[in-house]
Amino acid sequence: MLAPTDQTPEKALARLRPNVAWQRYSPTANSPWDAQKVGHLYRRAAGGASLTQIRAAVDQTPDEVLDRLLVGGEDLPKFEEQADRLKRSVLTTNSPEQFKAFWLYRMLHSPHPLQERMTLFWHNLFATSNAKVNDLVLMQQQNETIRQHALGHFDDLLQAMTRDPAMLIWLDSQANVKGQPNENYAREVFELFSLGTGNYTEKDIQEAARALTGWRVTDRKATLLPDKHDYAPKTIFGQTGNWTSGDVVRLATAQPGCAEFLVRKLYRFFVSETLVPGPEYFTPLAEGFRVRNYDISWCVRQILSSWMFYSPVAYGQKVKSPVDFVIGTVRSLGGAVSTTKLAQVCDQLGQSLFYPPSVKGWDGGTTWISSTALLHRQNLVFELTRGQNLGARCDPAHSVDLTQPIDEVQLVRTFLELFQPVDNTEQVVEQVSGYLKEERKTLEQQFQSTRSLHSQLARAAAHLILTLPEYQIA
Amino acid sequence: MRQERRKLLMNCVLWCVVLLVASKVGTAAELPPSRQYFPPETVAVIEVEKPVQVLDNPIWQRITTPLKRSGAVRDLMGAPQFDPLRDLVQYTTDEFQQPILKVLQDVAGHSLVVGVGPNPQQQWGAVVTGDDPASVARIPDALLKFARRVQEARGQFVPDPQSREYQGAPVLNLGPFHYAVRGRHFCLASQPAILEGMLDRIEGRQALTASGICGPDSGAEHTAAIRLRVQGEWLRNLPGAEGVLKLPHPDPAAMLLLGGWIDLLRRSEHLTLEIDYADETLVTFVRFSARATEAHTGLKPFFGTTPDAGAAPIVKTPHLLFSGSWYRDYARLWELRNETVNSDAVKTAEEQNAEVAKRNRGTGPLEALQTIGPHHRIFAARVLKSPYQVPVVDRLPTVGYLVDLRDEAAFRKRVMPQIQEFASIISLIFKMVPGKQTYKEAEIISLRFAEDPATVAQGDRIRYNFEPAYAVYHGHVIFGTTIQIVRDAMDHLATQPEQIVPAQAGQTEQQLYQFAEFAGLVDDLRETSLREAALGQGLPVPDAEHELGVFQELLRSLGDLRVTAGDTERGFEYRLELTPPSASSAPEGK
Repeated sequence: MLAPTDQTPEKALARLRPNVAWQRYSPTANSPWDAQKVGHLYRRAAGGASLTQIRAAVDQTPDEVLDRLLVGGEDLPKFEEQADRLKRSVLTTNSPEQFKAFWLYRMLHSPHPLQERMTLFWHNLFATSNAKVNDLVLMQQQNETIRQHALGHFDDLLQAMTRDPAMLIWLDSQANVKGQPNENYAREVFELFSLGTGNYTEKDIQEAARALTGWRVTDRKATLLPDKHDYAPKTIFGQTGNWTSGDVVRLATAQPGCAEFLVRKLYRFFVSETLVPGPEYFTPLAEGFRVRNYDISWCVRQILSSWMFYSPVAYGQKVKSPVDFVIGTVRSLGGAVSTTKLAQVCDQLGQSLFYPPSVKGWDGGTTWISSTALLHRQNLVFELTRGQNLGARCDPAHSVDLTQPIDEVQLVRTFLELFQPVDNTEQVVEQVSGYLKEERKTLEQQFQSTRSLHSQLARAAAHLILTLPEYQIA
Repeated sequence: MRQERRKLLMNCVLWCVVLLVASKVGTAAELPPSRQYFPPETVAVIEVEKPVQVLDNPIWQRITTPLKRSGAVRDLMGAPQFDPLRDLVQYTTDEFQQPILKVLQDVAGHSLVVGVGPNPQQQWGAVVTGDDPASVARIPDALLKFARRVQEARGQFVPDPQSREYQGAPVLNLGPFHYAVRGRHFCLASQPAILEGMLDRIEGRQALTASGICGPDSGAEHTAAIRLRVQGEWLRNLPGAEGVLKLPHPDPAAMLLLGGWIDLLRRSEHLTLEIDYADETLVTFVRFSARATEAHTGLKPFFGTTPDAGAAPIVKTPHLLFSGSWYRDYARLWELRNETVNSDAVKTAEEQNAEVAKRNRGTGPLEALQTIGPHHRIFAARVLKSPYQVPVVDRLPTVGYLVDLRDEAAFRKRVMPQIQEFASIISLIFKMVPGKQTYKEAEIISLRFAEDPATVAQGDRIRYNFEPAYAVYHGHVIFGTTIQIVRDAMDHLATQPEQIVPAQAGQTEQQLYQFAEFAGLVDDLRETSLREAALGQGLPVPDAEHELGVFQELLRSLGDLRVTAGDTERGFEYRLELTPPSASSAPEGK
């Protein structure tokens, strides 16, 4: 779909009936499988792609591309082996910067980028901050647990989170003991992690808190202290029994609201932050998700292969988060950049990994953009496109054949194909190429080789496009 | 018969004439060192002999071979900051229609010399001597074209150069540049008089400079590939130099630590840096023209240049990274303080020492200094077997220091108690356990970190690389970061004679760097190096591994570096000799 681009998301949604919205997109003459769609898929599902990846994916079918995104590349086991080695070294540092840099390294280099995207999604849902946990090893442990289940079954993930040591510390579960229940985790497990407000009562929370009593973190492991656990019967969602923490998760995921709650979260993450369709659009997807035992992979596939995803409802309807922005830009340039530095930039831009601002995670959307944040984003782009220092290994000039004559308009189109700022209209082509023509005149007067001239033009083109306001949205 | 004899005689005479002419031509082709074309007032001159050979020599090849496999170096060379250099090379090859090394050989194959006068910004000159006069003759035009491209891009007009005749041949002037071509020489200067002086010497109207830093080589001089020589008088007159070189000096610490070099600078006519290579050995000399044997009386103990006062042999231990030995008689230097340090500073230092001594049973740093001898040795080695059971990610090298004792009894009585006190404080602060063991009938005192799980869990594990220890043995005190290096030093001392015999007469310093062991050290620190390359530089792990491998290969290709210092007939000289791996002795302990 995507074209015609003059369609508003609302109009596009009106054209998409609920029974068609999540059906599988298949290329047509009016809606071909092209670089724009591939770029859109990679931005949302992988954080970005290089020109080579985009062009290779255009030659494949949408299913082939999505299959690969869902299972990861063949070199995944080898990458995991290398990452594990790196992790062991990071664990010895006790430095938040190193832990953040290590995760960004995974996002940048993993052959399974969708897994990293989903890990980030769940990190935001089960938002746990080291500001309170104060143990980076536990934070890393939680990160690995999330990654393990990121595309698995949600009920398994929720079970794992309920007994995750970092989560136990974060939501005061260690203070939740028989006779003195602490309701923090019980409240969040219903409100923020599985059902959303309106789908449970205060009584459910109180009873669930009792079921969750007795957990402690000992030697960085969660253990149940039988004498601290309340073994008396509890009634949760109208069902009475001698419930334990595993039962709380089971009862929550059995609630009809759970699947829709999660589907709406996934919709906001993958499709749109601006337009929320009516419940009739979510019900079929939620139902499918529920009957498939909360198979996250299935649900993500449905979303990423749907007509809805490839429609103007989705296109350009998200503000790039700091992580999306830095990872997307570096991945597009096909380069290697210091992730220690990128972690600092993400901190400056307001997305400090392992340190979400509250239990609700990052607000996202337009809150990512402020005049200061834009300045930091532009500074980063300037550094990345200089071809030296931070940007030494992601030189935009490497995306272009420098030995051939360079036409400014073609150069702009190449970088638009790569970076795909939303609304890359002819006006953008005209403006940027016009500037480049002026730049060429100045450069040609200087003493330099054709290669230098072309390199500088390529860097200038990339820099200009990456600083367009349209590049801030995806 | 007689005719034949006559013919033979004539032939012989002709051959002799031909040979004589040929030898004359040969002599004419052997040019004097180009620095002799510069005026005697020159204060600094840099000479590059046969620049193409410098760029194309086997040592450079050996070092650059591994670098060519480095992605990081490739990225760096492709970076925009090298664009101007690439552009210049491109311009030159386009202009001369020859590969860059061929152009360089033709226009500067013999030598490249730059000299400056007392006011370097306004008094300078350069002589470029090539192999091909026709190519040399093209330099002015090529430079003019180059200048036009650069300046005109900045909106500045470059006029035609002004030409005039000097002694029947053209001399050109463009802005601040005065230049001319004479045969194989291209001369460039900041002032017409400097240029004319150079041309006069080239064309024999004026004698070649025979004095100062531009004079001819004495028999003792090396022929170096690159040589920088600076006039001592000029250095001494630089702003701020007077304060540093003053005697008596206001800072006693400066005299103790740097006095010998300050004295050499005060007395040297010139300082020289030379880089030369033979086969695969690279030798660098840093030379003061003054000798240490003629030092100021109060600073003679600094280098100790009498035959019995050289540096002791370096300590050799298994897997040695670095070993250095130097002679420095701090006790005697302090005894002669009134000759080198001004009285106010002496008084202040003595008062400060007395304050410290009061708190330490009458022994201050200066009293401690009196107990130690002049032979200092420091050494570092890789650790293949950790002194602890606790595994560490990075195995840091161990470092040792030893010095001979002038008065062992006094040292044991006055200094040892203070060392023990200091060790007690350290053990309290870092929760270390004191230990004692006997080795070679001497006591080694050490401190160890506890290895119980609770202690291990607190703090950084890198501390499990340290097990500080010290011992007094064979008339020396030895300090080390591990017990093992103290033992190794004791093993070394056990093989040495009771009386210290300098490694080589007149050598006041020796150092050895074994780069093959440094390559091994990269393995010892591999996990941290890898993390830094991956997260700090952004390299994927396989690339980071590759880069570390290249770095190790580069280190191995360097071989060994030996540094010696001492008086020679040319002056006080540091000699740095980089020998290739094949010529290096195999590292110890292999």
